[in-house]
Amino acid sequence: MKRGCFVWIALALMAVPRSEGRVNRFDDFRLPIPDKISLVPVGSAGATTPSAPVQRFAGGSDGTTSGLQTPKAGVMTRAGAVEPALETIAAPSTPAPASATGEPPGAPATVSVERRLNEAPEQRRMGATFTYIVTVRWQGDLDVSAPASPELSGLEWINSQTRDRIEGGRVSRECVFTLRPVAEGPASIGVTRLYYTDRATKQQSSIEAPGMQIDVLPAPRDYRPLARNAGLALLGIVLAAGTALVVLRLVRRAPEPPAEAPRSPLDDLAAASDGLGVLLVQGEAREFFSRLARLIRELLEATGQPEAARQTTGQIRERLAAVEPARADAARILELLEACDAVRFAGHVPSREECESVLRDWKALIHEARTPQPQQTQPTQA
Amino acid sequence: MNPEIAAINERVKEESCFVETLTQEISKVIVGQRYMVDRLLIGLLADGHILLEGVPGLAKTLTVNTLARCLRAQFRRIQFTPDLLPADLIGTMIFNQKEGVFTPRKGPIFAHIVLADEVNRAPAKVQSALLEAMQERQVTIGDDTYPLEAPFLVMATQNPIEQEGTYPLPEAQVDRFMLKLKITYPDKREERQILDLMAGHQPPEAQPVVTPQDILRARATVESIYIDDKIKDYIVNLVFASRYPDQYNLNLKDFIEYGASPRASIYLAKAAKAHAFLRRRGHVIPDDVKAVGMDVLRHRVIITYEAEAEEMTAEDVVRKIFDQVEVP
Repeated sequence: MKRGCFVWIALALMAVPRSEGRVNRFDDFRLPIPDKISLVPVGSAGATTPSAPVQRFAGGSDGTTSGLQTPKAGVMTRAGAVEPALETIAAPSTPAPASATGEPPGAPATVSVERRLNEAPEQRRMGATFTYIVTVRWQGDLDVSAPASPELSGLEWINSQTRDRIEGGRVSRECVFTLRPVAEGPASIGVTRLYYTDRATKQQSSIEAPGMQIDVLPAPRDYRPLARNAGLALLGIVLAAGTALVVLRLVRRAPEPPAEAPRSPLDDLAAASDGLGVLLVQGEAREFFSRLARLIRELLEATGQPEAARQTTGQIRERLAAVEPARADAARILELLEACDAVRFAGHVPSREECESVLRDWKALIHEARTPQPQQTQPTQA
Repeated sequence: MNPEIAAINERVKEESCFVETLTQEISKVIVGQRYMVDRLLIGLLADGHILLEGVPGLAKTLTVNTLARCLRAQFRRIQFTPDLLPADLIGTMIFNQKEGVFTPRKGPIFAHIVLADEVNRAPAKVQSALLEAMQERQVTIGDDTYPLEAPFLVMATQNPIEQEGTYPLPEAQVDRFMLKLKITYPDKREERQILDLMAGHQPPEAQPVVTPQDILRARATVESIYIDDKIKDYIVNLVFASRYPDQYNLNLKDFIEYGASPRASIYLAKAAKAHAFLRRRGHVIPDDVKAVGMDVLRHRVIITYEAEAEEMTAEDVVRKIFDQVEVP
C-alpha cells in the first residue's frame, strides 16, 4: 500500500511542468549564443553616412567568419554554419584621432553591431518574456548614441537597459530589450538604428542592426492545476482505499449470518446417540455400553462436571451428591453408569431388551438436557 | 451375567461375611481409623506386607495387635533398636550341652503377624534379614531353611519425625511392602470417643472371631475375583504414567526420578481385588484401583530434588497421575 502511494506521488511530481527560471534540464545551462554575427570593416560597403544610403550586405557565401580586420564578412549561426549576414556595419571614412581608450591617433575607427535573442526558440512562447540584445562595439574617438527601440510586430516592449564596458581597447555598449509576445505565430523585430559622431571630424553616421523574424509558440501548458488536481485525486484515492480497507475489516469481523447456529456439545451427543443404535443392531453390546459410558461422562462435562472423564462412577456419585444434590437427572445418570459398569467390568451380558431400554433412557436424558427448562417462579404470598 | 463371574460373586458374598464381624470386633478397641483397618485387611487378604507411617500415639501398634488378636493368629512384636541383631529376629543355633548338638532356636519372625515397630531404627543388616524373610517367606538358620507359616504378614511402623540415629529403608526394600499407609490424626468426634473408651478402668479387649484358615480361604477367593481387561489396561496406564508422564499429558517429567516398578502393577491388581472383596464384589471396578492406588504407589514413585525444591511430594505426583489418566 505504501509503495503504491509513493509511486503515485512520484508520477504527480513528474507531471508538474518546469517553472520559469527553474533549472530542470541540461539545455538550460547553455550559454547564450548570438543567432547571427556580422562583422564588417569600417569603410567597407556596409557602412553608411547620413549622406549615403544604408546598404545591406548580402555576401559571405564563402562560409568563413572574420575578425575586425577580415575583409570579408559573414554570419555565423549557433550551429556553426555560416549564413548570409543581415547586418550592416558602417565605418568612418577618415582616420580617427587618438581615443580615450588609448588607441593611437590616426588609427581607423571601426564600428560593429550585433543583435541576438537571449532565449532559445522553444522558449519564445506566449506569456513568457525574452530579451533582445543589441551590442555595439567601436574603436576610435566616436560618440555613439543609445540605440532606439526597434519597431515591434506581435511583441510588446517591457523595458530596456544599456550598459557599456571596455574590452581590449574597444568600447562595447549592450542594449537589452525585454520583450513579450502578444500573439502566437510570426512576430518581427524591426531594424535597430544607431547614430554615432566622429568627434574629430564631427561627422555623423549611423549603423543599423537588421530586424528579425521570430516564431512565437503557444503558451506553455500549465500542468500545475492538473498536478494539483492529480494530487487531490491521489489523496482521494488513498482515502478511498483506506476507507475501503476499514470497511472490509469491519465486514470481515461482522458475525456470520445466523443461518447456521453453532452446535452445542449436547447436539453432538444427540448425534452420537444415533451411532449407539447401530452398535445394537450389529450386536456389539459391550462396545455399546463402553461408548455409552463415555457419552454419559461427556454429558456430565457439558453440564457442569469438567472432570467426569477422569472420574469413576463412585467419584461421580459423590460429586453429584455433594455439589449438585438437587440435580433432577442424577439418579438416572448413576443408574445408567452402573448398568455400563456391570457390562464392562462385571461380565454382565445384557439382553436385547435391556440394551434398548438403556438406549431409550439415554435418549430421553439427552432430550431433556437439550430442552431449556422453564424458569421456576417463586410462589407469592397471598 | 457371565456364569463364572456370577459364581465368583456368590462365593465372595459367602466368604466375605467375616469381614463385617472382624471390623466390628476391631472397632471395639480402635475408634475410627477405618482407613487403616481396611488397608490392614487388604494386606492380609492380598498377602502383602504393610508399612505404616505416622506420628506416635495414633494407635498403630494397638491396631495391629488387635487385628492379630481377632484373627486368633500368632502375633509377635519386635521393637527395632540400633543394637538389634539379625539373630534376634530370625533366630540362631543354640548348643545343647545335654545332647551335644546345635539346635535351632527360631526367632520372633516365626509368627502369623509380625509387628516390626520403628523398623528404621535397626541397622541395615537387620532390615535386610527382615525384608528377605518377607520376600522369600522362609528363614535360613544355620544350614536349615524353615518356611514361614501362612498367613504371614509383616506390619512395620516408622516415625516420620525424630530422624536422628535412624536407618531409612532403601527404596529397593520399601518396594517390598505392598502398601504404605500414612496414618493421620482422628477427627474431633473420634478423639472424644477415644477419650470415653480408654479413660475407663477396664479398656476393652478384642476377641478372636476369625481363624487363619478363614483368611487363607478368603485369599483364594480374592485371587479368583474377576478383573476385566479394561481395568488391567487402566492399571498399566497408571504405572506407565509414573514412568513416562509426557505420554499422558502430565507435566511431571522433571519431578519424577524413578517411576513405579512392575511390582506396583501386580500389587495394584491384588490390592484392588482385595478392596473389591471387602466391598463384597466379585469383580474389580476402577473405584477399587483408585481407592488403593495411593497406598500402592506413594512409596514407589521416587521424586527428584527439583520436586523437593518445589515442595512437591510423591503423593502430589501420584494424585496428579490419578487425576489425569482417563478411567475406563
